[in-house]
Amino acid sequence: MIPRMTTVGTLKNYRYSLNNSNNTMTKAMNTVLTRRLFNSYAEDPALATRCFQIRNSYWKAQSQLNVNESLRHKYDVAWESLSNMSTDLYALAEDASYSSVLRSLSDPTGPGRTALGQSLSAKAKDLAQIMNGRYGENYIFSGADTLRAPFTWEPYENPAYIKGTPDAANPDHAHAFQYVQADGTLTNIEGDAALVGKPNPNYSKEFTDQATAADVDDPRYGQFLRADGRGTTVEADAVQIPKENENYDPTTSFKYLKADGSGTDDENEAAKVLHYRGVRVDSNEPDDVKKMEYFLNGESKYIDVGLGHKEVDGEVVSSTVFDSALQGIYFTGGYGTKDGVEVEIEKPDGTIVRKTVDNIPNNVISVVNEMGEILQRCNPEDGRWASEDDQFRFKALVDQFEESCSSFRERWTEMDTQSGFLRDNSELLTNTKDSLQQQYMELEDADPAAAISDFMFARYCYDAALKVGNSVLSQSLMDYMSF
Amino acid sequence: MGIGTFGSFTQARLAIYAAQTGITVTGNNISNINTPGYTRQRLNQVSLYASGADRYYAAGDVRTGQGALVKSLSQIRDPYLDIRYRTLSAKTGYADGRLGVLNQIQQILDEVGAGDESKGEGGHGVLGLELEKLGEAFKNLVDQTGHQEYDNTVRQIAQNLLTKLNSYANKLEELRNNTIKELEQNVAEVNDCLTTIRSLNEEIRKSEIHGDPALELRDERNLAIDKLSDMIDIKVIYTEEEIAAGLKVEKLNIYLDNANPDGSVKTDESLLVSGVYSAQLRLDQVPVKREIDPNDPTTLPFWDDVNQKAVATEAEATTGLDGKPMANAGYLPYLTAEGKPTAVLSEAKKVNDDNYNLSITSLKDKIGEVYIAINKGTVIAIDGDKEMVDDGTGQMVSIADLLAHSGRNSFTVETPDKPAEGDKSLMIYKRTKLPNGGYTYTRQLVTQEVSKKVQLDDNDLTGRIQALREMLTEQGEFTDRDVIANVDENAGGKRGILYYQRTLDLLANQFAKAMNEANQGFLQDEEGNYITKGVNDAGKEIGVAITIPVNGKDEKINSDWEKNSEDVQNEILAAVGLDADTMKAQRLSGENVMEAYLKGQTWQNGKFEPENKEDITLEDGTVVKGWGENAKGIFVGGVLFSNNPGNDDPSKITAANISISNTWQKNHLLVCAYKCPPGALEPASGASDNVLHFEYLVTNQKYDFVPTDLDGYENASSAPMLNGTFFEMWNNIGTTRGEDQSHMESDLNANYKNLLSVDTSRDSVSSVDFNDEAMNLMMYSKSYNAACRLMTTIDSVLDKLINGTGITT
Repeated sequence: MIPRMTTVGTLKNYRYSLNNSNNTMTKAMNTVLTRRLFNSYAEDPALATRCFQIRNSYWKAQSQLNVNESLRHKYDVAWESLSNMSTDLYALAEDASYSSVLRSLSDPTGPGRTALGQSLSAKAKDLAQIMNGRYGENYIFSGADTLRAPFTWEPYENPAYIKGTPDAANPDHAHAFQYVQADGTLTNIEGDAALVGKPNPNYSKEFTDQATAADVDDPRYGQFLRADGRGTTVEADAVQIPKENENYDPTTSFKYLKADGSGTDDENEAAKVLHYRGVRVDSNEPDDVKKMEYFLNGESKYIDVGLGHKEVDGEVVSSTVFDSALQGIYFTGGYGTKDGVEVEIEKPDGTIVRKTVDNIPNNVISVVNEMGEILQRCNPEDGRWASEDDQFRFKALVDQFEESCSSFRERWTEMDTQSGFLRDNSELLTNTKDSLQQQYMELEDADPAAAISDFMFARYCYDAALKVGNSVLSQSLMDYMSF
Repeated sequence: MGIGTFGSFTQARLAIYAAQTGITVTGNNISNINTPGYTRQRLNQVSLYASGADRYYAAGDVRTGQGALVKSLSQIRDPYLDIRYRTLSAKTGYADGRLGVLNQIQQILDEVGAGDESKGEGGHGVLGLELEKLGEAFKNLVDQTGHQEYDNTVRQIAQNLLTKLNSYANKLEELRNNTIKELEQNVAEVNDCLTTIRSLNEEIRKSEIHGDPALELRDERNLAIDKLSDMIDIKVIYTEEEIAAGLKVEKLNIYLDNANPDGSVKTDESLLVSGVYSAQLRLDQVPVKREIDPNDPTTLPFWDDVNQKAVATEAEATTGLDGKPMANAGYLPYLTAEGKPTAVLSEAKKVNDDNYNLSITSLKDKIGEVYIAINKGTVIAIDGDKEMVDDGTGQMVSIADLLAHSGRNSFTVETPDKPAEGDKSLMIYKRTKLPNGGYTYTRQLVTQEVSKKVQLDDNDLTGRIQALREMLTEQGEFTDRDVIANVDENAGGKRGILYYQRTLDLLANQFAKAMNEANQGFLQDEEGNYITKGVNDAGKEIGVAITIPVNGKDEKINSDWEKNSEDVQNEILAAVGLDADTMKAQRLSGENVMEAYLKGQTWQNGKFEPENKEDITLEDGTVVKGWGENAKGIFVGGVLFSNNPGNDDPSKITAANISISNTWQKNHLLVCAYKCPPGALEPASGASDNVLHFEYLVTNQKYDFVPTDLDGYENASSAPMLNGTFFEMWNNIGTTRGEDQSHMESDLNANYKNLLSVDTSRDSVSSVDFNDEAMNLMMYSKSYNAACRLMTTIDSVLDKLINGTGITT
C-alpha cells in the first residue's frame, strides 16, 4: 500500500531533515572555522587518541630539543674555556723565558727564573680560573656540583697539626714534644728532659776509630763535644744538654704551613694548594683518592636528550641518557701524584746525574703552580736553584707538564666529540619534532579547499531545504479550491 | 415500507445534516492539524433503511432507503504502530538520556582542539598539556638543579595540574548532582504521566458509559503514554471491562515491558496502570547512618558485656542467650534532618540510596483504594461425588451432596494456597442441571491479588530513567565484583559519571603516590649504602655507612635489598620483627623492610609502627610516639601531594582533594638526589638523579592503574584497567568516553530515525492532511448542495402536487 503522506507527517519529516541539513552545515562551518577535522573524542575516538599521542611525543621532542640546545651551549662554552686553557698552555710552552729555563736547566740564568716563577704561579691561578668558568649560573667543570666552583686554592693544611694541647701519652701526638724525659716520656719542658751529651757535628766514625792520641784535637774526633770545644767519646765528659725528641716537629701547633715549610695560623700567609671540589688535587690519601675516583668514574649528571630515557627497577639505564657532568679534574690531567720518577740532569761540568723523584703531581695546574714555586725559590741574584732537589723536581715537573698538556689535548678532543654529538642530536630532534608536527597536522587539520567546498555545498543544501520547506507549506489542494 | 409523502423531506434533511456534520468534522480536523497528538476523526454514516413487514403488502411496492444517518465519530489509529513507536521511544529515550550526560561529561573533560593558540599550545589540550609541562619542568630542573626559580616552576606547574584536576572533579560532582535532580524530575514526570493516564482512563470510562467515545481524551491519553514510553519501557494492553450486564467499556493496562535480560525476573513485567488504578515510581530512600566512631559509644552497634563497653563489630561482642551478638542499648545509628542522633528509624533523615533503586507502589485509584486483581482460572469438570470439601463445620462431604442438601447451585471455599500475604484464593464449585435431570459439576480457582509494592531489579527498566540511573551508578571496572556476580553481569562494561570520577581519582592517587614515594628516603653513599653522621680524624662531620652487626662483624646496608647478603637481610628482618616467610606472605618488598628498619619501626598489627616521623601529642595529652630514637640514617624529603593544602596527609587522595602539601607550599621540598659523594653528608649541589627520576615518573613510567588501589574499592576488579603513563591514562579516559559517546550517538541516530519512520507511519494513518480534508470539504460541500437541491426539487414537486393538482384553467 502506498503510504499516505499527510501534511503533519510531511512537516515532521521536513523538520527532521531541515535540522539534519542545518547540523551538517554547522559541522562544515565548524570545520572551516576551527580548521580541524574533529573537535571531540566522540567524533573520531581512535584518531583523537592517536593525535594526542603524537602531540605528546612532539612535546617531549620539543622539550628534549630545548634541553639539548641548553647543553649544546654549555658545551660550546666549555669548549671555549678549554680552548683558552689550551692557548695559555701553548703560550706557556712557547714562552721565551720558559724555553730558556728549559734549555739551561742546569745553568743558572739569573733573575729570569724568579720572574718566570711568578709568571707560572699566576698562570696556574689563571688556568684554575678558566676551569671555574660558568654557563649561566652553573659551573661548567664541577661535575654534578654545579653550584660550587670546582677549583679552589686552599691554605696548605698542616698534616701534623694537633688541635688543642698535645697529649704526651698519645702516640699520634709524639711529634708535638721537643724533649724526652729520663723515663722515655715526652715533654716540652726543658728542665724535665733527660740530659745527654752534646753531639759533635763533625764526628767521623772512621776517623775516631783509627784516631791516635794526637788526633783528639781534630774536630772529627768523638761523638760528643766537651765544654772546651774538643770532641770526646765519653758522653759524661761532654756538655750536658736536654735530650731532644727525634720526631719533634715544631709546626704541630700551626694549622697551616707556609711555602718555606714553616707553620702559621694565618690563612693568608699559608701556602696555597689546589683543591678540586674540596679535595686536595695532589693528594694520594686513600680517602681523597676515593673521592676523586668517584668524581671521575662514579658521578654523573644524566639528562634526557631523546635517547630513549629508560629506568629499570628505579635505576636509570645510562645508555638511554646523556651524562652532562664535566669534571674539571679530568681535563686538567687528573689527581694525585707519581712516585719514582726517574730524572737526569746534566751538570755544568757535563756529568749526568740521575735521581728518582717522588710526589710529582699529575694535574697540569698543580704542575705549573709547583714549577712556579720552585723557580721563585731560586736565588734572585744568580738564579741558582734553592736546592739540588728543586732542580731534579723541576725537571720532573717539566716532563709531567709535557705529558699533562698532551693528555689535556686528547681530552679536549674527546669533549669536542660530545659537542658534535649534541649538534647532531639537535638536528635529529628538530627533524623528529617537525615530522611529528607534520603527522598530527595531517591527521587533524582540515584541507581548506575541501573544508570550504564542503561548507559551500552544505550551505547550498540548507538553502535548498529552506526553499523546499516554503513549497511544502504552500502547496495543497486547499490553495486550488474555489466555490 | 415505502417512504411517506413528506418522507422525502426527511431524506433531504438527513442528507443536509450528514453533509453539515461532515463539514464540521472536517473543520475540526483542519483546526487541530497543529494540535499535538491529535488523531484525525472520521464521520461514520450509514444509509437509513426502515426494515420490517408492512401491514399491507402490495406487489410492486418498491422499498427505498430513507436517507443518510450519521452514526458515530471514530479515530483512525493503528495499534501495532503504537506498540512499535513506544518500544522505540524507550530505546531512544535511553540513548538520548545517556548521550545527554555523556555530552555534559565531554564539555568537562574533552580537550580535543583545546589549548592556548597564542602560546603555540593550540590543540595540545589542557590537563594533558600540564602533565607534559610538568615533565618539561623536571627536565629543566635536571639541567638547572639547585636554582630555586626552577624548583618554584615545578611547584607552580604541579599546582596548575592539580587545579585542573580539582576543577574537573568538582565539575563532575556538580554534573552528578544535576543528574540526580534530573532523575528525580523524570521520576516525577513518570508519576505525573501515570496519574494523568489514570485520570483520563476514568474520564474515558465515564464517557464510554454514556456513549461518548471521548476521542479527544484518548488523544490526550496517547500523548501521555508516548511521553511515558520515552522514560520507561512499557507495554500497553487494551482489554474490556464488564461494568454491567452486557455493558462493556475499554480498560487500559500498562505494564513494564520485560526489559530485564534475566528471564527468571518477573518484576520487569509489573503492572503500572490498570483502568482507573495506577502505581507510582519511587526512588528508594534510606536513612542517613552515622559513621562509626570508636570514641563515641552511641555509634557502636554491639555490646561487650565482659568489658562493659560498646564495640563496633560482631566479633568483639559478647554472645547473648539467644546465640546472637549482644546489641548496644545506647546505639543511635541514625541522624535526624536537624543532624541529631536518633535510634528511631522514622525520625531519621532519608536520602536516595546509593544505587538509586526504584520501586513501584501498589496501584491505587484516585481515592486511594488499592487495586485488587481478580484472576479467574480455567473451569474444570469434576466428579461431584468424589470431590470432597469442608462443609464449614469441619466435616468433609462430597460437593454433590453439599449442593444437593443446600439447594444451591454453587459453593465457594477459600483455599489456603494464596499467591501472597493479604491475597485470597477461592475455589468456586458449580452444578448445572442436565436435560435428563442429572447434574454436571465444575470447579474454578479465582484469586484476588492485592496490589503491592514491587522492588525493581537493577535492570528492570530501560528508557530515559534507566539511562540516568546508569549514568549515576555504573562504574565500569570499579564495579564491585559481587554486583557483577549477583546483580548485573554486564555492569563491568557500563560507565557512568562515577566511572569518570573514579578514573580521575585513580589518576590523581597514582600520581600522588608515585611522586610522594620518590620524594622521601634516606641518604646513601656512592655505592648505595645508607649513611649516617660520623666524624673523621680531624673532627669534621662526615657521612659514614650505617652498619648492622652480623656474625660479630659490622656490615653495611645497601639500598638495593638484593645486594645485601642473606645474613644481613635476616638481621634486618629480625630487627623489624619479621621473617622471610612473613615478608613474602605480606607482600613486602626488601625496600619496605629496610625503610622500616631505618625508621626504627617494627611489624605490629599488620603494619609497621610507629607510623609518624615525629611524636604527636593528642588532645587528651597522650603522646603517640614517632620513629624516635630507634630511627637511623638521614631522612630527607617529605610529602609533596596531600589531601588538603593545610596538611601533609597523603592518604585518601582523590582528584577533588589532591593538593600541594602544606610543607611544599612553604619550603623547597623536592629531593634532587639521594646519593652523596664519598664521605659527604649531602648530595652534590647540582646532583639531579632524583629529578631525572621524577621526570621519568611523569613522562615515561608505565603504571598499572588498578581499580582496587582506590580506598573503598577493594572488591572491584583487580586487573589493571590500563598499563600506561599518566598521559596515556588521561588519553584513555578521553578515548573510552569518546567511544561510549560515539556509540551512543549512533544508537540514538538509528533509534531516532526508526522512531521517526514509525511516527511517520503513524501520521500516515492518524494525522491530518490538507489534501484529504480539502477533498472532504469539497465532497461534503457538494453533498450539502445536492441535498439542498433535493429539498428544492421535492418542494417543487410537492408544490405541483398540492397546489397544482386538480386545478384547471
